[in-house]
Parts: sequence; structure tokens; C-alpha cells
Amino acid sequence: MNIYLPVAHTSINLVIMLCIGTGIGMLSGLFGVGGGFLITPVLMMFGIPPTIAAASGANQMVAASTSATLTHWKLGNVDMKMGLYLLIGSFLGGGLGVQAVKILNAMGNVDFVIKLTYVLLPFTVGGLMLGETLKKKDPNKSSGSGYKQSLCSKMMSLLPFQMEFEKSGVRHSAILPVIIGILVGVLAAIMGVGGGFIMVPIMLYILKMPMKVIIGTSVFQILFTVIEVTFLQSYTNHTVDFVLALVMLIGSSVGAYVGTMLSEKLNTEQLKVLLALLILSVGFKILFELMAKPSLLLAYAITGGK
Amino acid sequence: MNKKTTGLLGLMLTVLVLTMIVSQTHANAELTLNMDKSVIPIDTFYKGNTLNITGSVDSGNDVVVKITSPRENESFMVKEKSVHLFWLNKYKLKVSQVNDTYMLFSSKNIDDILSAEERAKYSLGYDAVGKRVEITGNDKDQLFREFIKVKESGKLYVVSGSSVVLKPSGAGKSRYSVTVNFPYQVPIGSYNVNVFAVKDGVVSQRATGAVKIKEVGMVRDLSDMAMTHGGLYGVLAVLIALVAGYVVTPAIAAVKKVFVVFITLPKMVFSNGNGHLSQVSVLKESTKAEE
Repeated sequence: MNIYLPVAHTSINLVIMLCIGTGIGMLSGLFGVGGGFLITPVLMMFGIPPTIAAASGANQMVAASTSATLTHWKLGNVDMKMGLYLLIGSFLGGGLGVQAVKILNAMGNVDFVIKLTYVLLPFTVGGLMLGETLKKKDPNKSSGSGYKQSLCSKMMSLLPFQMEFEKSGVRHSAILPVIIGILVGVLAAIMGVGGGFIMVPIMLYILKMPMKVIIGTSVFQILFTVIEVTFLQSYTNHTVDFVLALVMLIGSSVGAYVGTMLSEKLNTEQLKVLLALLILSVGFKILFELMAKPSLLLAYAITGGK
Repeated sequence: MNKKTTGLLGLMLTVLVLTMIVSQTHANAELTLNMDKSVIPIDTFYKGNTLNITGSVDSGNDVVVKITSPRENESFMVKEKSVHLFWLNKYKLKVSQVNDTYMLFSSKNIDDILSAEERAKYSLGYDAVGKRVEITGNDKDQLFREFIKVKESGKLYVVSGSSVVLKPSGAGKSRYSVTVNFPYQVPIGSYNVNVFAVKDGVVSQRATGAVKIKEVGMVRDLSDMAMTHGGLYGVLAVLIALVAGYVVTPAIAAVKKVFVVFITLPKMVFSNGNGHLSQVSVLKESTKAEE
């Protein structure tokens, strides 16, 4: 059964799209990522124009994140204080990122930068996570990093506005989550994603938050980021396909629920390995696409959007 | 000039005009064009449509059917390998005076029934299109081949020989027919339908028509709203997504509860002498689902 998308001007198979939405929703609930870095390439594979794929993906992530945030909220996994400081940063960063995209677009290099971030970041983040997980299994190799981590912690403790984040059980400067939020916001605007897969490792390795609170706080922050992105894309670029988003969000809401339930049953290490492998696979896919000769050497010039 | 001469000239002109009209009507009568629809509506479940084109032509003629969108200028990005490593969009390519959609169907291979001059004159076939369009860049032929590949992969360009069926219909006439597939990729707009009767390598007659693809109902309303009231559309998109996210989670929990009951109920019914225990387990499962 096919359904016609009024903004993408494309006909899609309803069952396939529901399955994709469910799969991505599961990842959202399981890992606390918005799924934007998966949804955009997947929708593009099904013939949706890139700008519409990114914007509609953000729209469907509103539902997936609402569902996941509510579930994590009920489970007591959201650190509101940390989440609000992160939000201040990500809203500022989002604004800066949009300006950066405008400048890069004018220079004609925006595609290159976006794709480069899609290769570099997944490899860095996924590699770090996988390395860290494997290192824990071999305790003999963990001696060298102690000094570096303590130095990093010492530098962070020197920052002003130190405060207690009771929910996470950590003490940090308020500046730290704001700066991280700005970084995430900038990258989110450039890459067109919620930023969960960037924020989860940062929360884990730099802020030293517990995994369950990280996932809850991450989806909370993603929810507001994708709300902002959905509105701005609709208002400025007219690239949100509501029907596509609706189809995806039905699947993703179900998937997010199942994913969150699974996250309660699986242990942290399993979650981290799966997330790392997922991030690395996305990086490999984009790297392969960039290096292999494309079947079509021409592409329609994108007007509007990113 | 006297009145007689003026009257005679007037009469001659009238006869000439009438003769032209009659001959034109006669020519049209030789090649006719009928379409089973003039509008292709795009509704919620649209996945493309077909257009049946039929008509009458003098026996011995071949028939060529061309369907095109109006000519326009299009922009593309050209991919090239950079630093011997990555394929990236390197530079912009402008293709001027080109049809976004171009479909050509004929009773025989177009190259076999029409001379190159005639093909170029009526823009029939990719070679003829290539001669007309203007492409920026150095290797025009290579870029034009890539342009055709992009269009064909998007199902916007089709050239199909032997797809028009000709059948004798008596009195020195033949009936031609072709079913044109309009995939969903063909955008909304007006399309020109040109039918050419071909004899001895030249176009002998021509008939024209038009078909329109347009959005209707909810598809049109949403499309219009997204384009003209982007802010309102954005707010609605966010609100509905929020409500869906809010409603779906308890709905799934309720479904899960029902599912658990249906799974455990048969166990309770078919258990021998352990009915009480089974009821307790159902209650426990239901409580877990609620949690």
C-alpha cells in the first residue's frame, strides 16, 4: 500500500516506512539517541530529497523523543538541572550552527563539511566507546589513562559556578554543560541531527554521569532541539513533510517504547558496545559512499534547505 | 479599383480561406488523437497513473508519440574524485532549455523511421534533445550522457521504440494505441502530447493535446499550507508529534496489558486443577504490565 507525500512529492510504501520508523524508534529508546543520523540516510535511500529527509526526520523525532522522554521521566532517569543547562547551550549553538551553514553554503563547501563530520565524528566517538569498553575487559591496560583523566577532572574543577547535579551524583561547573550544549548545537545544525550520539559519549566520559541518567537527559535535550529544528525548517525552508513524519512517528513511538523497556533489561556494557558498533557502521557507510564511484555523476542542485 | 473588381477579389479570398479551412479539417481528420483522461489527479494513495492514447492514422504511416513538460533551465552538481579519495560535488552545471520530463514512444525505432534532420526539427530522440540544449562545462557530450542517466534513473526520461501498437481499421486507416505510464516521480504540471504520423522518413502529419497532473484533496491542502503558511504548518507538525508521542506510550502499555492477558488466559483455562494459581499469575503479569 502506497501513500503520497505532499511536500516530498513522492509515493512511499506504507509498511516499509512503518518498519523503518519502528526500528529507529527502538534505537532511540535503547540508546537515548534521536536517530537523526540514521533516519536521514535511510530516507534518502528511499528516494526522499535530503533536505526533506532531514527536516521530516526531525519532526518524527519529536514524537519519538516525547515518548522516550516520558518513559525515562517516569523511571526517574532525567536530570532536569543538567538538561536545562545543556538546552541553554544547544539553543545558542543551534543559532551559531545555522549561521555557519549559511557561510559554508555561500562558500560552496557545505556538502563537504557535512559529509566530513558524518565520517569523522562517528569514527571518533564510536571508536572511543568501543575502545573504552574493550579496555575494561582487560584491566591490565587501564593504568595509563588515570593520570590524563585526573588532569581533565582537575581542569574542570577549576572552572567557576561549580554546582551539585544531585540526580547524576556529580559536581561540575555550570559552564561545562552550556559549552557542551553549544558544541552539540553547532554540530546538530551542521549535521541536521538531534545530537544524541554526540552527547551520550560526552556525558559518559567527560561529565561522568551514570548511563541511565545519560539516556533520559539526552532524550530530554533532543526533544527540545528537534522541536526547534522542525519549526525553523517548516517556517524558513518548507521542507517538513508532515505525512512522512506522521507515518514514521507511528512506527517510532512504538519502537521507542520497546527500546526503552529493553534498555532496562540490558546491562550498560551491552548498550555501549551496541551503540559503538552502530555509530561505527554509520561512519563506514558514509565513508564507503564518499570513496566508491557513484552510479550517477550528476545530482540535482539543492535549492533552499541546508 | 471599381466595385466589380473589389467584389471579385473578395470572392476569391473567401474561396481561398474556405479551401484552407477544409483542407486543414481534412488533414486533422487523417490523424486523430484521443486520450482517456485530460487530468491525472494526485490523491493520498497516488502511486502513479497511466494515460491511454489512441487515434486513427492513414495506413502505411508510422506513429511517434511525444510527451514533454515545458522547457526550462535546470541546475546540477557534478561529482568528481577529490584528492584521489572522495567523490564530492565539485561544481555547478547549468542545463538550459530542457524538458524536465521527456517521454517518447514510437511504432518502430525512431532512428529507423525518421531522418536525423526531421528528428532534430521536432526534437525526437535523445540525440535531437542533445543538439538543442545548452550545457555549461567542457565535455558537453559526456555531461549530456550523465544528464540522461540522471533523468532516466528518476523515470522522467523514457525513449521506447515499438511501443505504439498499429492495427488496420479498414478504409485505408489504422488505429494506433499506446499506454503511457506516468510514475509518481513525474511532477505536477501541464504536459504537451504530440503525435506525429511518419511516412518515407518525414513527418507527414501532427496532432497535439495536453494532459495535466495536479494535486487534489488533502494532498493539495497540506502542500499549499506547507508552502504558504510555513509557521502555522510547523506549529501543527510539532503539536501533533507531541500529542502522538504522549498518547502512543500509554496506548502501547494498554495494548501490552491486553496482550499479556490473552497470552496467559489459555494457560489458566486449560490448566487442570491449578486454576487458582493461574489466576494469580495473570494478575501478576497484568500488574507488571501496568508498572
